[in-house]
Amino acid sequence: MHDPKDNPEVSDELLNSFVDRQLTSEERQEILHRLKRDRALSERVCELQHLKEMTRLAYDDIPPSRLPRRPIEEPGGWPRMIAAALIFGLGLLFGMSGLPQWGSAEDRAAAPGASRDRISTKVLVHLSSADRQSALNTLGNLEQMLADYRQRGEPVRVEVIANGGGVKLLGPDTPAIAERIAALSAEYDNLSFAACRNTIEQLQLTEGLHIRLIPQVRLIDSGVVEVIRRQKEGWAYIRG
Amino acid sequence: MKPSPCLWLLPLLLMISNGLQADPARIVYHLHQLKPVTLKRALNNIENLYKGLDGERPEIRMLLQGESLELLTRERLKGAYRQRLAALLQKGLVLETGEANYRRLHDRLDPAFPARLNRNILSRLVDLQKQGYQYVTP
Amino acid sequence: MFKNRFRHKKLTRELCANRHRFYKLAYSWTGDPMLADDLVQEAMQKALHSFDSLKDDSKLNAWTCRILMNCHRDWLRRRKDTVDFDDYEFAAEGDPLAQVSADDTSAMVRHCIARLSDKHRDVITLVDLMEFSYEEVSQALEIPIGTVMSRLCRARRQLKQLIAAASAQEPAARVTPLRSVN
Repeated sequence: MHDPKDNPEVSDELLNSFVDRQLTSEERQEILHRLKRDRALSERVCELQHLKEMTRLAYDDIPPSRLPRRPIEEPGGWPRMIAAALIFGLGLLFGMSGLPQWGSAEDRAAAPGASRDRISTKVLVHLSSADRQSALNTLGNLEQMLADYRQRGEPVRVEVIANGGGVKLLGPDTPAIAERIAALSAEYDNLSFAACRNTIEQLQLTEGLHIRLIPQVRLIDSGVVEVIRRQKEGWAYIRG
Repeated sequence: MKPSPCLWLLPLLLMISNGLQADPARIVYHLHQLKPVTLKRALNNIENLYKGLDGERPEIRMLLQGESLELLTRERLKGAYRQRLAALLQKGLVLETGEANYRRLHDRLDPAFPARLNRNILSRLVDLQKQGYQYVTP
Repeated sequence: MFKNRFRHKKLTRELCANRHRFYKLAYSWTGDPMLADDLVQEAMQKALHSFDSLKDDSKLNAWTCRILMNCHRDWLRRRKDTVDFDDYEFAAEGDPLAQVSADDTSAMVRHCIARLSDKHRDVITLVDLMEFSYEEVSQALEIPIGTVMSRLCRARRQLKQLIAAASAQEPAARVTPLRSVN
């Protein structure tokens, strides 16, 4: 019996080529037009795409390679050494030091766990909105990320910095968030929270708000300065 | 002993060759909310990025976290927005999302806009930045 | 001299940038991280010392994959010479029966990929893990593009069936595949 899902006009080979982006622009457009009106074809494409992604994803968390990135030393020799010394000198002269260095050993932050300067992955999560649901979602995603790194056996350090409306969410008045922060802080000692003093003082002046912070949150002078400085030091940045 | 002029040319040649082989501009565009203005702003931003970085062979990835993945459903992605996004995919834009999020919505997603799946979207954001991708939000 | 040096440097950089993909590919064949590392190391050493035999730089990845495949085949032949083949099972990873569970989709998919024939597994992993174009797959496997397309179709069809069957099965019923040497 003819399967209603099969469309004899569009072969499996053509659909595989579409999913693998091996078609010409015109061929691709033709399939895209057909997808708009052919639900069965749409389902076939979705299945193929999902299978492709499952295959790729299946090897995302395999045991990591233990070898260094470069398998052998490149051949040396005097021209290379002289060139390297000259470039170094020119670099010092023209000030090429503005580029952020990933995993920089210089970590001047006074955050808890600052002794863990050797951790190469450092993540800054920026909370600037007073949207409670959004903050809870961010904390949920953060927990999954921390669990992911823990499962991979990769050290990571995460700091959540709140300024703007975000500081309103770090007090005892938002119990759902407070409880979540307390639980996460207890579970992960590589996670810390900080709130911007400038914002808190500003809110007190302009809105008469008296912001109280839960014990897990420390005060920093300026959230935005910290955000900029950390990125320059090589921290990854995520907007929460 | 006078140093050979060739010694001074060497770093210049190496620097020029490094410049010629400069890495393309790499940007990760992060969406995590579903406000009405989200898709319009994202499309405007990314089109401008392609225009402005044309000489730098930009590699742009749009990471759709959480509810923002709804932007790729058949019911939301229509008309001019659909065409503009299709045009951006032709330029090389890569869409990405989290695996669990994909499973939640997969039967509503438009197959013309496949997304690369990731086990954890925040870890992916971090990994991309480690690879040199610059982070942008709307 | 400088032109050759720049070319070697460029090819080396490109090769090293793709190292993690070669590793994933080797892991998909062997299921063993140490063996995958050994094979990749061997292949990359050979590639780095043979750039002069690479006629078209744009085919670097396909050419290196070919070297990696040959390294794997050589290893399988050496293994056959020293091991009582009937007693050795090429497990997808460690002990797949212990590791595969209803929730462990990744391990299950890897297990199913390991059960594909060599030809099917090769095309699927080159396209989906190495992200090769069909042209590159054709170069790496030295088969026509039409054969790549038809083989990939059959491979994905078979993989889909294996995954569906594995998802429905109890873990204890899954069988460890035995890899043969051609």
